[in-house]
Amino acid sequence: MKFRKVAALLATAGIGAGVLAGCGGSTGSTTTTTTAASETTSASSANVAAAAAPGVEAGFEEFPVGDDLVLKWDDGELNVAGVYFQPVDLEPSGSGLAAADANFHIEADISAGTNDVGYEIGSYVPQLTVDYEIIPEGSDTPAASGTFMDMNASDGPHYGANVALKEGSGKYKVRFIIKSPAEKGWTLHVDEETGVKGRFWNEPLVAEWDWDYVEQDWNN
Amino acid sequence: MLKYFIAVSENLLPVAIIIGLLFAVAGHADKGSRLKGGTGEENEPYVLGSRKQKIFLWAGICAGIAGAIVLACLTQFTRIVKRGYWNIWFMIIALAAMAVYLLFLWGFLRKKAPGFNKTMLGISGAVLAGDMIFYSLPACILFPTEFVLQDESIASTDFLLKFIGLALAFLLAVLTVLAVSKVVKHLQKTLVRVVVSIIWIIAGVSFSGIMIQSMFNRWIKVSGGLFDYSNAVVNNSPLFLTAMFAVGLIFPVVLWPYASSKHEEYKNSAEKRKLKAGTRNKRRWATFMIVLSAISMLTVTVVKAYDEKEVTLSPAEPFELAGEEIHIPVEQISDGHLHRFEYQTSDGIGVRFIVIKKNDVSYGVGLDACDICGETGYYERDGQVVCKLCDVVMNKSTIGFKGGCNPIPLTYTMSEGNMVVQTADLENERQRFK
Repeated sequence: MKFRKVAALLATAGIGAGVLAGCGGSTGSTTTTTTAASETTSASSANVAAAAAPGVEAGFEEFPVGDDLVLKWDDGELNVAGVYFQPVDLEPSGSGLAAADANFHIEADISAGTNDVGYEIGSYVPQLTVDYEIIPEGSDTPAASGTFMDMNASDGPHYGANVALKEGSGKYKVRFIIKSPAEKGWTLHVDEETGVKGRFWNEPLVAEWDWDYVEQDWNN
Repeated sequence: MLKYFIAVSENLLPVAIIIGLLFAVAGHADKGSRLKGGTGEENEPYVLGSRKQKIFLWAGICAGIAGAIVLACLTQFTRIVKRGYWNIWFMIIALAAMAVYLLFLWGFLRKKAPGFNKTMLGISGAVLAGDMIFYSLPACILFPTEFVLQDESIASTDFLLKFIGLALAFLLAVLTVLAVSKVVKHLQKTLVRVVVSIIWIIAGVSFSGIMIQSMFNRWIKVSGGLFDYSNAVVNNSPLFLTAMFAVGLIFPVVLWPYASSKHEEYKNSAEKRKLKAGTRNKRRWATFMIVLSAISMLTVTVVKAYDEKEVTLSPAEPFELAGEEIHIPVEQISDGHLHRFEYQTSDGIGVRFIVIKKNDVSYGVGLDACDICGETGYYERDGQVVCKLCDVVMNKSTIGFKGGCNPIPLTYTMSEGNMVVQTADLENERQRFK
């Protein structure tokens, strides 16, 4: 093909584009952690009632951030599982990062262990404020952080967010900082007849993993 | 527009340069054959290409496009596709095809079975082309579905601009194929072999990184050495693409003097003019390839860095502190633009808050933070308030109300031409800015 013919074709395409534009305006390793307020132990999935993956469909893949953990406070335990998978669209739109702009969706599946505050063992613990931090190895500054939203998937309720991790694959520390439901005004019966014996935790419970993050091309 | 131009370019340009080179080899007719008394026919030792190779290549490309369309449809409309597993096989096939291609490019069976050598060159090239298209194209086909999922009407300007970005990247890829094939097919066989080999090795390293990363958590456990290797490769994929184009620049640079017709014989002035025109045409393609290579390299490095540049929040504005109250003159905040303020708490934490006039009677006032994204902050873009972390555009009228990615509301009063904010409210929220 002669260069001039290609140049002419390009010019035509350029004019077309200009006209169009003118039409409009613009499995990581696991650690255990102990915090001031909590004891944390690693637990096998057999004795932790973590939520199942939302998709048993063939196209869905979920990866663990690390082993499931049990966070303890004076009057109970929380089972915490961290998983990540493809970014998901949320409704209403505008609730956090759009799936198209995210690298993955990360979830905290938090259920009740043995406790004296009235939770049924294995049930979802509602109204928690769960902050997350994803910190590159050797750094103190999170590459991504925020507060999980409460949301429902096909497997039930959980805490989660779409996250963009521009630093890409690598070694990170992942922290879920779980604040007491009392912060959101969750109350307890304390009377003799119907009350619970225990109380919520005062200092945040912290689940922490060393995470070998492998970036995935979910659509490519 | 820029985001999608970059994303599609990153997907298609490695494929484009590889397919351009495959076409160049398939159509290779070294000028040297004529200079040495040959005719440029495919049975001469100076010539790498053959008609059969071109047919194979087109068949591979058509199969790749068909496969990509089917895969895109399956990804969009079903839940049976796990791309990670597909990618492992795409990369294994690509690496195997590249190795076989190099073997026959260097004439593994050239002396014993020259015809078979060229046939194998054609088949391995076709497999490579088809595989790469099958791998790269589905995501590009599916990008427009992202526009729609972001609640954009197909008739909107934003949709149009994104689509133009996508179309320009496709155009850049197609032109790259054309330019590379036009430039390289005239050059000496040995040069073509050497440069193609180097580009294949660069691409091979990049593909091996993708393959290993796709294998993690599926076929193999994440392990130290392999993890570090694949991270280094995949996290630096733009550099590999840049290197492929940089090495490819050898071709047009060499073609420029090589295209000269000075030493070629002619019988009459008409033939002389034809030879000169041929030289001019080759040099124009060489120049064009240099320009396209520059655009490609800049796109995945400089332009990408510019597009991903972190937004800097506007500086905090001054205000008057009167005891336990912050006073902000109304005229300072009545222009309809975003205004940012920062109050230092008793323990030295800077609590930021924003103010924007919503209408004649009310203001949107909130912390420069939200429940979802934390203290990341908001900025003004084209008259709209946007969350710096998640890029969500706020509905101005809802600023000052709870919910979603809205700024955490802050109460205020109006008094004697001032907006008044209580410092106690900011002290209460200081833990958000630690």
